[in-house]
Amino acid sequence: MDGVRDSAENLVGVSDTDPGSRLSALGSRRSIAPCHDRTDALYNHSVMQYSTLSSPQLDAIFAALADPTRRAILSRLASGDASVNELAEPFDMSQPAISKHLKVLEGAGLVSRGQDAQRRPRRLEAKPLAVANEWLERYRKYWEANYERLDALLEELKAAHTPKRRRTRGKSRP
Amino acid sequence: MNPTKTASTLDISTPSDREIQITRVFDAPRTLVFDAYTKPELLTRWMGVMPGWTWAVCEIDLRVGGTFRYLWRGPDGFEMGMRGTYLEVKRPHRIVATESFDQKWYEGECVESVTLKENGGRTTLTMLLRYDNKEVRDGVLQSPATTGMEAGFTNLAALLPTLK
Repeated sequence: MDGVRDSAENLVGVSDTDPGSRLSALGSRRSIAPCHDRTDALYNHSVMQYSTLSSPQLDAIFAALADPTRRAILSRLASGDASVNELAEPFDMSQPAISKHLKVLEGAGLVSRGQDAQRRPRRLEAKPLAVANEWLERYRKYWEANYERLDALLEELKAAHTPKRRRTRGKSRP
Repeated sequence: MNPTKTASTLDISTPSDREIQITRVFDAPRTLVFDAYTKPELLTRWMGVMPGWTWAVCEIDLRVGGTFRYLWRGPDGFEMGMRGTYLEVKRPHRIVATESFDQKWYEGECVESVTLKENGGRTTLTMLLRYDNKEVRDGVLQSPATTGMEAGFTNLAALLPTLK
């Protein structure tokens, strides 16, 4: 349980400085809504995971990840930078189609363009993914914490539901 | 809590682009799990009991067409509420209800179904959240809140190890 409590406290601790700095790493054109205390408090409560979704960046990231081709592109970029041509190769897709996907990934801050003016290699930006993963982990932790409390409650209910006769018989047997 | 006995991991998956599914095994018969989900005096002991937050209202009218109302009070007296209507109530194996938050975290409604399967005294709980978000389907980036989130879930988890 300590782990759960710790993580819950960590979530609270995150609110002061982290979200802004982390989200700024997304490098999106869109600005981020200011983090009010109340928002942060919600951020840390259950459901409250939803509040983080008001961030357009996170929306954009998850929307970008919702497409299998875009995930495949990210996987490919995870093993190294690649040009649009190189990216188009393994897919049965036209270059414009791939470019369209890249545009979405760039909009979400997941992919950037390298310096080489001719090749214009695309590069994976890992930080936004880390932000998205953090969101996912919070959601998971929220439900894990809930269900651990439910485990404890169920143990209690089971004990209460066990017929007394059977329990006393077992206990009092010499 | 006995970790060796009840150790169970929570599994999150995305059956479709509008759904999130969570499964978890509990070391208890499903009647108890069902009760813990639907009786206010039990539900308030485990759901959303985060540091700094307390239950303010928990009303459950457990019948088809009946409603529920949850309200939590947090730091600085801030309140967080949700409500919904039961669409299906089948003790002890299934509950389906609409749910929406007082604060509009996302557009439209969410339908939550909880299914309980018992096997050898253990219960597998499956919670399915289905968002009414057509914009996800249309692939519009500017769509609010839940956009693509569901679809990103497991896929994201699967992708991340490859990034290390």
